[in-house]
Amino acid sequence: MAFKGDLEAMVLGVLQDGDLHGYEISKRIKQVGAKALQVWEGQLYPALHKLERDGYVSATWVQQEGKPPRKVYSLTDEGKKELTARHRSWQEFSLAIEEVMSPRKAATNGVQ
Amino acid sequence: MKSRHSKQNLNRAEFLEELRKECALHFDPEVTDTLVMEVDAHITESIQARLELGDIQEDAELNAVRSFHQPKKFVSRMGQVHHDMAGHDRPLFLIGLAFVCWLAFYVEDPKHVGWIVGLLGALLLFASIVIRSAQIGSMRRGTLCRLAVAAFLVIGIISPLRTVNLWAYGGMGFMPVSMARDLVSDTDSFVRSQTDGSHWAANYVNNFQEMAQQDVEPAKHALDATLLSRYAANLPQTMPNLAVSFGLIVLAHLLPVVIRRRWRKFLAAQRRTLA
Repeated sequence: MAFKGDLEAMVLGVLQDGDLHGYEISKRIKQVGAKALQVWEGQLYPALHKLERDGYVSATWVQQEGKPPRKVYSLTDEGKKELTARHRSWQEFSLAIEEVMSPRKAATNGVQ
Repeated sequence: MKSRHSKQNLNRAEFLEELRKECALHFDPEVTDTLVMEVDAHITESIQARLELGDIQEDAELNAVRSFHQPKKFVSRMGQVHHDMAGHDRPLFLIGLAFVCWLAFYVEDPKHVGWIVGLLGALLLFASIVIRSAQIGSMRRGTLCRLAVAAFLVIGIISPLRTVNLWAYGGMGFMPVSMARDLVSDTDSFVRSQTDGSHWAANYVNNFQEMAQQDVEPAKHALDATLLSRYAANLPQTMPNLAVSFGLIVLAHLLPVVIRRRWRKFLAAQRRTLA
């Protein structure tokens, strides 16, 4: 990921569509990110457990036939608030970067 | 490099086995079990998806496992979340330090009040290990650890400047005791020449004087020599102290780690026996 600290926000973002387990979360981020976002599982699970510890997501074990049980994560109310806050700060950040990086019209203010 | 490469090519069973072993060293059994189960489920899904895309079984397994990196690295990352890593635990290290400094306090002067607070630090050390084993919330454990460290620092600050403190701080900072005493002797002369006789200064001067009479008599004969040459001259006498100081540092670092590792191994053995 270009911005490492945003993995948690990405996880919160994909969980707003519904409850998902770890593999689906990484798959969904890759799909939505259209290969621009690379999520390693080695990074994903620490982020998921941190979100769970902080109370932004909750997890339940779901039994499966012929397969190991899997842990399904869902967004909590706190997580929804956190997602809104992070989305807002991301928008401000990306707008600021856009302003700085967008091409200027030459010599509009008369400075040589 | 060879071993690193081979670790990256673990198959699923080997990876899960390595992961379980690594987790067992650092986490409680319950955390270990759930983490391994979760990773196992993830790998199953990942392999299935890769097979559907046309991978052969072996490649699918290797690629699914590889995305977790090495088990040790993965567990290290998880440890940053769970704060249960044995080798990277600063609060426990500091409490271990408080414990050995308590020993230093006690050995130097059992009548000095410092050993009581040092004992508190030692009790908190063992309490924190027990509490960790009982899986109480990490915030409460952190508070407990900080309390012990604060207690140790407070006694260090409020205690009068005596050899007992120098002994402890010498142990902490690799400073040989005789070197510290030499410094006190120098400071004694300096304070005597500079102070205006205030009560505070007089108390300290008395302390220095007492020490000079009791402990640093040999150093007084060398006051005209440079500091460095005196260290060199006193080196044979300071070596045992230096060795003890170094030993205390090593002990402070290893004690909590060794105790917790032994405790976890004991629990794992108990679980195996019960199973």
